[in-house]
Amino acid sequence: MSTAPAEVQQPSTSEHARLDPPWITIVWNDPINLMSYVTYVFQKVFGYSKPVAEKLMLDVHHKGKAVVSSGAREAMERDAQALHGYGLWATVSHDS
Amino acid sequence: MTGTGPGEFPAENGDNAGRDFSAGSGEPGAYDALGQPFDEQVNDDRDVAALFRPVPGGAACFFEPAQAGVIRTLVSQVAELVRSEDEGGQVSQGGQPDELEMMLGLSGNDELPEDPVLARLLPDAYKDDPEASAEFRRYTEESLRSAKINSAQAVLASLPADGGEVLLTEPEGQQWLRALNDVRLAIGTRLGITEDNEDLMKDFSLEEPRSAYILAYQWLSELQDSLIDALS
Repeated sequence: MSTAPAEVQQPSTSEHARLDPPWITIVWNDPINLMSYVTYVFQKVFGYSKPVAEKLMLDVHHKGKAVVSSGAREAMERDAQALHGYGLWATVSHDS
Repeated sequence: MTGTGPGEFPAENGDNAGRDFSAGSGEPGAYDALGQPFDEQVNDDRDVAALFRPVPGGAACFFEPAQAGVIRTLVSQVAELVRSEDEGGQVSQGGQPDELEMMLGLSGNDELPEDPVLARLLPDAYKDDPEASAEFRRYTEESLRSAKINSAQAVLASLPADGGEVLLTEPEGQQWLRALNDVRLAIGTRLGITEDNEDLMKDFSLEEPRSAYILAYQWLSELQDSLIDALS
């Protein structure tokens, strides 16, 4: 049996692929935090405009979660810590 | 998430679920800031909802003595809960306080609290990575606890026990928002509020033991919302 030529699946090594730091902060929906409060917190923590903050809040509300920031792991942990300080449920994960 | 409308509470579980924020079997009423039963403070007050209004540079609200008492009691309870669970902190694995850890403000604690309210107030930072969550907690939990206690103290410092006009700058208002939110998280978690049964709570009996907390939760939701409006 002849060996089929190995189909090497080249991971996309385009230069853009690894430029974006692969860590994200996720905020999860919960039944207690007020929609107005979540919007307010996004504005305060990230400096987002009210429309941006509102859209993120609605994503959290309707989809159950939303990515609220991305970057280096340490920065995401700082974001999660700040969000916990406001009582939001935030986690850090690898964006793979 | 939820709006501030009525009817956001579950109809199950009437066994004093919302009564005591302390983990386990703490002494009942140990944290009551006032000498009178908590229920009476709330029930006397149910027809009057104090709300914040915007003023130049911040927000203002007039609190009746009973309303001030409710907020002070609940905020103190949450602060005490966050503080009381802290006793095991700053102890290294050998059981001895580690000077370096204390200096750095690290906590020996790296586990999600068993108490659901504390677990909600001090959540894991990684969803499916206990090791990373533990590491994060070791470095951050102490300061998160301190921040929550500070917010509670800011409320207690600006809200006279016998009520009156409270005037908040924006930074003070933010402390209030955090503290009010922690109280709502504590009550909401104890009451078992979920997204699915928000509507089940439209009717509840004032005879129910937890009704005091339901009323407080409802009012604090509106109060928090009014403070956000005033500061926005």
